Parts: sequence; C-alpha cells; structure tokens
Amino acid sequence: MNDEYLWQKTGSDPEIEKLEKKLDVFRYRDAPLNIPVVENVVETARVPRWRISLAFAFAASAMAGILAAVVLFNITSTPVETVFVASPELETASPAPAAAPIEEKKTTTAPKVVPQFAEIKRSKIIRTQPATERRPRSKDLRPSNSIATLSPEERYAYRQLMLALSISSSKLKLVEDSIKGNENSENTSTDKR
Amino acid sequence: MSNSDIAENLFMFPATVSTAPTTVSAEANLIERACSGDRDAFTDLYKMFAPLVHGIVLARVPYDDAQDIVQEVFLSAYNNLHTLRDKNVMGAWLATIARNRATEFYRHARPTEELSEEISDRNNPEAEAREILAAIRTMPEAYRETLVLRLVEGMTGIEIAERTGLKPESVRVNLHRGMELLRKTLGVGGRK
Repeated sequence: MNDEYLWQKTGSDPEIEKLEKKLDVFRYRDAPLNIPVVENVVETARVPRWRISLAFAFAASAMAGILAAVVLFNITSTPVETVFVASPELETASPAPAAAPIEEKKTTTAPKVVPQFAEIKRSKIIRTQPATERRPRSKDLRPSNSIATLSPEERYAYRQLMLALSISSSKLKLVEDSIKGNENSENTSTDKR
Repeated sequence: MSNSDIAENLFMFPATVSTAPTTVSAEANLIERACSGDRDAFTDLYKMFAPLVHGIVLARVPYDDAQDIVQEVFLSAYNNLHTLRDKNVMGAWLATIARNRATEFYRHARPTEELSEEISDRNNPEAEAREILAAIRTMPEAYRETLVLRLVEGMTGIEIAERTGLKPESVRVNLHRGMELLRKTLGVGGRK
C-alpha cells in the first residue's frame, strides 16, 4: 500500500485507485441548494429563552416581595385593637397603648403647619355619631350591635340565634362538668386504691 | 509500512500544512458576508463544504437519503449561521450538524428490508460498491469518516484535516489504519 498516495494522491496505488473508481458512484453530485426565500439569515433581535424565563422569575420574585411588604406593613400599622365582650352593647374599641401618648407629645412639642388644602380636606371629616356607634376599624364578623336599627324579622332571628347559642353553651357546660366529674371520680378511686 | 515509518511521516507532517491560514480567512470572509444576508456567499460556502457534509452523512446513512440530509444540514446552518461565534471552525460546525442529522435520521427512519440475492448481484459494479461502502460503515467512526472522505469524495488527507478541524496527524493515522482494516474486511490481503 502506497501511503503517500493514500495521504495526498502522489505516486500511484492500483488497489486504492480501483477502490476509488468503484466508489465513485457515491460521490457527491453538485446539486443546487434550495433555501426558502422567506427565511432570513440575520436574526439579531432574537432573545434566548433562558433570558426570558430569568426575567419572569425576577419579576415574580419582585412582585412577591412587594406583596409581602404591603401585607407586613398593614399588619404592623393597625393602631386599634377591638375588644369583644359578652354583651354586644358593651363593646368598645380601645386605642393602641403606644399610639396615644406619641400623638400627644407631637402636638405639644411642635405644632404642625397644615396647608390650606389639607385643612379643607380635614374639615370634611365630621363625626356625626358617637364613638360607641361608629364602626370599629378592625373587621367585625358579628352583626351590628344596634338592635334598634333591625327590622322585626331580623330582630326575631337575632333573638332566636342568641337563644340557640345560649342553649348550646349551657349544654357544653353540662358536658364539661360531667367530664370533670368523671375525672374527679377516677382520681378519687385511684387514691383509694 | 511499519509503525516507525508512520511516526517519521507524522513528525514531518506540519511543514506541508502551510496553506491553511489563507483558506481559513477566505471562509471567515464568506461567513461574514453570508451573515449579513449575502446569499451568493452562502452558496459559495455550500459548494466548498457540500462534499465534506455528504461524506460524513454517507458514512452513516444510505446513499439515497444522503442528499436530502445534506440539504437539511445546510438549511439548518443557514438559519443558525449567526450563532457561529468562531468563523474559522465552519467545517467542524457543519460536521457536527451532519452527524446529529444522521443520528436523527435513524431515530425517525422506517424499518427497511435487506436486498434479496438476485438484486444484490456481485457482478453488478454498483452492488459491489455498495458492499464496499457497507464494509466501511461497519468500522469505527473515526476510520469510516476519513475513509469515505478520501475514497468516495476524493479529498486528500490535508483537505480532510482542514475541513473537519482535526489534527493532520490524526487524519493520517486514521486513514492508514482504516485502509488496513478495510483490506482485511474485504479479503484483499494483510499488511505488506
């Protein structure tokens, strides 16, 4: 085998030449390249997919962060705590313990310069109802405490509900007492033993 | 040829590869023009690399399907030419696309039937050529690609090295060993 012929076709090697001649039927025949006209080579504006997904991830995390901040701010800045008592007539809204003294201090030390438009705005907020009748700032899931404003049907329904609640609470009390009684009896029996 | 002769040739080889840089720069120039929308430049690239792609594909798939795959390879290259960062490795890039396309061909290919003895007549020259090609296809990948490019496409060892981006030494060794293996497979004879 002539290695030089195999490498750069210098000299001759009848065996390799014979193989070349036989395999010539498979040689590449010049064929025109069919490129569709609509296709465009230059695609400079194409953005990779991973960049788009990364941008979406950043946007989502930013949104989540903002949402969390808003929720946290709302939780920390609620100044009034509503205290619920047994009777709805006695319900009061107590102010936050730290908020009132700070406000007082502020008013005494430096009087605020309030712009005219702000004064006008503030003057519009006129309290017509006493503090006890005002709606509490915190969410109250119970019905309104003023029974006088209810219609006769509503009043009847309200009383029925109260009755049902009192019956159920008394039954619960009975159950609780019986359980306690049982426990006491068990304890005494164990002591006796 | 003994192993020592091969080693001597390998040692002497680099002096013969002096034309590579000019070819590479011409390629890069054509790629730049093709990237900017010059279709003629891409056609020149096609003419330059079509035998290489055809050879690589032919080393894996039947001859009847090779031409279609060559078209697919160049179409894919045309659409993704802007992604080619190093303009001097066009041949290696095309070779990779061609190999992948050939693999995909077998993934989606329909089952084929073997030729009957009547059709595959040994006296028929085309049948004989098919037999030789089939023998080449049974060889390891490195040998079969270089042998097809050399024996079928008529490229020299230097051209194969330039176009595929392989080291000339590797191509030379692959050619020599592949040829010996082919002779053994076809029953022509052993080492001289």
